[in-house]
Amino acid sequence: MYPISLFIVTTVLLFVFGLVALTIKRDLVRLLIGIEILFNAANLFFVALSTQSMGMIDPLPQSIVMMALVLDGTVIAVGLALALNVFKHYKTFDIRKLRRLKW
Amino acid sequence: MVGQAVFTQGLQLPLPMIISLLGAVATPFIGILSERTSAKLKDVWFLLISLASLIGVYQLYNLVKSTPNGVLLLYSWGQAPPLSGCFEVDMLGVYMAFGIAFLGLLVSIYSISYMEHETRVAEFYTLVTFMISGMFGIVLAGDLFTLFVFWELMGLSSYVLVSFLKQNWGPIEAGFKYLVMSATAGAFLLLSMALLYGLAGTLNFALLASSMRGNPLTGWTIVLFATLIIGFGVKSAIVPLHTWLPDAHPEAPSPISALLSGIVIETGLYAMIRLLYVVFEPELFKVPIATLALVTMTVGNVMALRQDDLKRLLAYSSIAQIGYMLIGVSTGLTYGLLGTFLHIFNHSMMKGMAFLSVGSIVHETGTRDINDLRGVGRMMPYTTLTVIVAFLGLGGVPGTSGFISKFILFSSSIGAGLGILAIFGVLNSALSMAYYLRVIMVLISGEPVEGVTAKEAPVLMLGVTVVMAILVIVLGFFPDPIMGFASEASSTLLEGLANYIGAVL
Amino acid sequence: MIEILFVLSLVVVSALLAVTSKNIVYAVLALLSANVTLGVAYYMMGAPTVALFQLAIFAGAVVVFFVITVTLTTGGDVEFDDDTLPWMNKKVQLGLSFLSVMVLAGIVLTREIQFPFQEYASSALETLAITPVTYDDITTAVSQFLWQNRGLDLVSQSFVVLAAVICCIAMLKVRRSDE
Repeated sequence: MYPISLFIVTTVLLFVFGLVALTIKRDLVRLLIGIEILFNAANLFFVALSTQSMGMIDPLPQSIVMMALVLDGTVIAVGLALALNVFKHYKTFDIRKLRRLKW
Repeated sequence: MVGQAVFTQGLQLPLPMIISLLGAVATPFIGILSERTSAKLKDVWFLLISLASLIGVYQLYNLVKSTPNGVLLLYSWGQAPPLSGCFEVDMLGVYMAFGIAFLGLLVSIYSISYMEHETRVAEFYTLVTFMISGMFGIVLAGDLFTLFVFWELMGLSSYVLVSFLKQNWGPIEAGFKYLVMSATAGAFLLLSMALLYGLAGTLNFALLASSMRGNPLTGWTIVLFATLIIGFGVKSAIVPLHTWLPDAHPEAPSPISALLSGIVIETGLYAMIRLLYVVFEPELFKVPIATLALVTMTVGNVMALRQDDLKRLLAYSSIAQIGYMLIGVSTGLTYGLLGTFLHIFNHSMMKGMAFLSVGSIVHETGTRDINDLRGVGRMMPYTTLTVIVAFLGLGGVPGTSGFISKFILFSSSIGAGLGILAIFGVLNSALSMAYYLRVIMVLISGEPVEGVTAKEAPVLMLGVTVVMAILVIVLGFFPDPIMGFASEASSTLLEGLANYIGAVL
Repeated sequence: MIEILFVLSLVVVSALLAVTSKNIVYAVLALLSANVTLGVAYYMMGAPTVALFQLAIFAGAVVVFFVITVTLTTGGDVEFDDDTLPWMNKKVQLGLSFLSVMVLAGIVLTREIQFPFQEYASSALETLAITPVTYDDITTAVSQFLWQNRGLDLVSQSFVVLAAVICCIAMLKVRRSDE
């Protein structure tokens, strides 16, 4: 329906933003935000590929994306539970205060 | 799958996976029941599930042996591949499932005695069983998305198991770092799934093998290769994606460290090998994988020399052993793959035994620092004996099973024209003996430090490690049973590919 | 074409703001807006059921978890100063957003990135029952396809959700004997 180069560029931009958030930011919650942006980029690329076949729409990638959305949600939930535990020990979300986390 | 079709069309699933999955669902209820009646009930249930999974693997082995082509295709509710998820079981899957079930049984016996005085034990048993069932799902999967679902199951359980002893700050930190790196790899894995679907129109392994093999190298194929390596490489601890491992494996409770180092990273390696051999010709990835093998071996061994923490030393040694296994992958020969899979089983026995015995020492003395453990070996003679056997096996001393698999790996790399890998491999093995011998010397000789006393480990913990030590030595002198199994397993990737494809098409 | 470009540039700008905002609560709100606009984009691309799941799970449950974690711990009134990039103030953020939207529009409107769509698809797929459908009956077709062909993955996924629940219980359970 729409040309795929649009979605390729968006996916690459979102990947870059997510990886930037993971490497140079120091707030734990922002790391999880970066992971969520990465998941969104991968799902967007997958759905974009489902609309490419000549005006018709393919149901297989859409089913897979629906299930992948559920799985990604659970991963982020467990990550937030771990982040709460970090807060309980250190009273801050700053990763510079974590004694051994060398990124 | 509407209405009655759920029950009439029949459920065909691999037996070990369904046993451990349903057992894991029932374990919380058994835990609640066991609080009312007796504390031993959940221990017995956990042991029963592990034993039943091993018996299920034996059943699966017989089933695969009796199929005409050696490949068993299982799908439920009449939903046939390639549109749907399926389990395609060949001898390689059964071999890996055997390794998983065997180590799982030994670790479950050990952890009954290790976790005696901890809280939340029922959740611990549930999560370990979920992790093991996730691993069964990965090695038996025939479709890439089915593999992803069980990959997430294994991953979720392992994040929380690493940070299980949440009273200390170490496990929580290590668990969070592990989660962030592994979730990023999950996103890359989804991207590689999208690329594969876009290029080939399917996610089924057999159909991918028939359509994507033998294609020339283009830009998009290189992107696909890179995302696959990143996606699977974080879990299998390939340098430079290994940085979570030296923090996560020491901080986890010792039975979990043994499972993680022994079989979880090898399951990640199995998934990578399966994908690479299905999607690409071995000529295409020989040089990149050989480079990764070289770098991984060297970094693992060099960093292990500088460690003072005993479990962290073993964690770096695991990275180096993954490097040795990658040598076999890069050759592209069945002989090299035989070395890799044999080393996977031997490593699970030896590294598992090392972590379990070291865990006993840490459990009794309360410290992980090597300099504080001087002379402890004389107070715990049997445990130290198993530690010595484990280290000799990991270093590749003749007489242990580690020597045989390393020999096959290095000689296969010469046969494939990558002689430099063999040279570096031998140098690295010699280097690794340096830090293993240092630990053995510290344990045996020297005067004990003030206040460090230890008695021999409890019977269950000691018995498991002694059994593994005997197995390592026996397989070093009579390797025929495991060699036969491993060579059947490794021949399915290259020579058995036609059977693999023929089962679906 | 212009409407999908507008929505996707909203997604990109919200993602950028989510990464570069100094206040963590504003970052979570930007993440919410990114997920909602991505849901709208899915609807416009021709995937209404995926849009439903995205809005329900990612823009619903996950953002609620984020808001709970942020407000119960550091609180919304604590300005978390990110001094790794001291020059990242409002003007730079707006500038970067504008730049990324220009890159998006520029690359898309001028050159074309080729993707070899299903170049290696085997001919065996032609004979199978994959029938891409037109936009009118996509909702029923996708739900039917999901239940008729992916039942195994759906059931396995429910076990993963159960494992995640047990994980959260194990991480957050406190007994008095622990303290």
